[in-house]
Amino acid sequence: MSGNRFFSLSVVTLALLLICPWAEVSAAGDSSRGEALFVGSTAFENGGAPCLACHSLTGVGISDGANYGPDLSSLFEEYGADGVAGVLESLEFPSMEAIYAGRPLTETEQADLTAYLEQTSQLSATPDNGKLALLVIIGVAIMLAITFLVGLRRMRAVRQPLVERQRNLLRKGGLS
Amino acid sequence: MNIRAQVSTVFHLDKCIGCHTCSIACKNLWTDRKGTEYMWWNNVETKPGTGYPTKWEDQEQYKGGWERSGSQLQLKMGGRAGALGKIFHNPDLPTIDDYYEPFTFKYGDLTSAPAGDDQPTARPISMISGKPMKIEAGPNWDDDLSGSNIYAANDPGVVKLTAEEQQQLFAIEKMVFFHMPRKCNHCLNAGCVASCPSGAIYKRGEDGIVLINQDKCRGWRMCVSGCPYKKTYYGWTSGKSEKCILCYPRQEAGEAPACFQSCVGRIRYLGVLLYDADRIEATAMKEDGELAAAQREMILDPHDPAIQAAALKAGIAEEVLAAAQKSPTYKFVKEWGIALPLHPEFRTLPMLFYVPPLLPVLSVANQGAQKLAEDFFTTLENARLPMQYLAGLFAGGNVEEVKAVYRRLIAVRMQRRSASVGDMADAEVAKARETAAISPEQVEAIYRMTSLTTIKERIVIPSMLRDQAIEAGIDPETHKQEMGFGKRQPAKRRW
Repeated sequence: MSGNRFFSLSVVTLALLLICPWAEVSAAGDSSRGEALFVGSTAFENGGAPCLACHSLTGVGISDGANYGPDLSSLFEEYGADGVAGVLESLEFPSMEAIYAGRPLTETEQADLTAYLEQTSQLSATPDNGKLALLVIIGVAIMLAITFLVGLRRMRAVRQPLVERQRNLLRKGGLS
Repeated sequence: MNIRAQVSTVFHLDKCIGCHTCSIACKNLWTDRKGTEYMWWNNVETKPGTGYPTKWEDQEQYKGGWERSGSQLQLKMGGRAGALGKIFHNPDLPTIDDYYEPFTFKYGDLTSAPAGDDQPTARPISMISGKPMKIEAGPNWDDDLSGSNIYAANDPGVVKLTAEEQQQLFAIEKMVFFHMPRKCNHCLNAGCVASCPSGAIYKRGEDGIVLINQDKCRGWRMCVSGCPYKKTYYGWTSGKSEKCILCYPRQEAGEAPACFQSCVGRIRYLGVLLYDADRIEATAMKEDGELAAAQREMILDPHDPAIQAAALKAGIAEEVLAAAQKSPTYKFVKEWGIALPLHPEFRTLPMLFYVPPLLPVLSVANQGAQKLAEDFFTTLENARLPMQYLAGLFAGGNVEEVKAVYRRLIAVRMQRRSASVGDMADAEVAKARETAAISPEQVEAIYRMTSLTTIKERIVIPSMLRDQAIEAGIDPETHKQEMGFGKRQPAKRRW
């Protein structure tokens, strides 16, 4: 899966950062590492929660992520590169401040996330609700099947069926 | 050899009149508490019939008892892994409907109903929900063949018979049934003990009574399915399982168990049997048809000096040994060989034995009047119950085992008829004794034990030596003053 690729990529990136500190000033940022940070497959250095924990972004995951915070699909278009960079620097929203005040994003992380958000804004991903609905239906069907199979062997009545069988015989007119 | 003592019992089914006095005595003494309304540690069933709980003998349904798996015995409900898998969800329990929904009547309405045009009635109400209910079942709902086309016809033993035998059993004017009281068998190889995940069930060393430790029981209810006789019950208020305790507090005081004491037909015999515990596993591994004989083989002769010495060495007290020598159950099971275990094929080695019923022979309709057949002293050929049915109940399907018992019972009848009425030829009586391999003295002893005994001869309770057991840990006088009824420890439940 892509998670692995991003993981290895981010490892390589980190290694590069460690080996060649002069490469740190890549203002462009690494969008693939940005994605890893966004979805949480790579942890933020200072321990902040990944963006996807509260926000959704079209094209990420089947249900487009969580919906505690606002959708970030149009963030880059609305704020522009500078705006996004400013937001990521401090994250001064009341609900986010509590989390990120003590765990700020590093400059590299900010750059990577900005690059990633820029990249996604250029793609025209549309939410796929049909696929989501299908998966939900399959999931519910599986759960119901398990419940039914487990219940199949549970508490089989003994006396009632004997009486019912006799009643049915009588109803049909055959007295045995 | 590993000699142990077992307080064992014999029920003489020819004498049972199906009055349920035993059940009532037990109910009043032990299970009149809240949450135990549905349980009958002792119950009386009509056979053929499905019993209580419905079709308890059908182990394909309830998965009780043992089965052979390779060279080992395994509980039918599954091995350890299987039991662990089902620990929160035991699918093999009888439902409350298969026992019966306990009910009472709103007697208060009879006196407190407002004045009206009709007589007030006491409506039946459920003892579970307290709401009015329709009574559809009871612990003896199929008593005396009532609802026989539902209940008797579905008796697991009847279902196995041929169509011809079934027809014989249910032919008009030849209908036949007998009563079979049941209680815990206090088995040697008890399924309930083996199935308990908490290790709460144990067999008392001194007398073999099987008990559930109410402090250790966690209410998993594996014993309820593990017991093939369905004689452990879950107490819905206490949250623990409970079962027949063979009235051990009464026995320790030298009294007969309540069901024995109250038995109107005097069908119940109690006494100590000595057996060889080393042979339990080998015995339980035998073929179905050999189990009854093998179990009889395990029982040791308390009159044999070698056995006596070994028993004393194994720690069996002299008082218990003396009781074993006077034991009526030893005579019934071993000396006379006329008592058989119920369903030995469940392989729990039950220590409650039944003398199978020798019912009055066929009665023939004679211009509307019922008259017993000419041949009053039945021969095996015209026994009213199919031998196969009785063999399925008492001998794991081995017809010869049941026939041997019947030949002896017939010999007893013939000799007594000859003595009291005098219309039997001596040669005929002698021939009957010969085929049954029984002496005139034994016949006389069986007759006396069956009909002329006092309660002290029928019920020989060994000294339970409680005084000595108490003395070992505490001064008896202090124990007497301080012990009271013991402690009560309710189940830890969040609800």
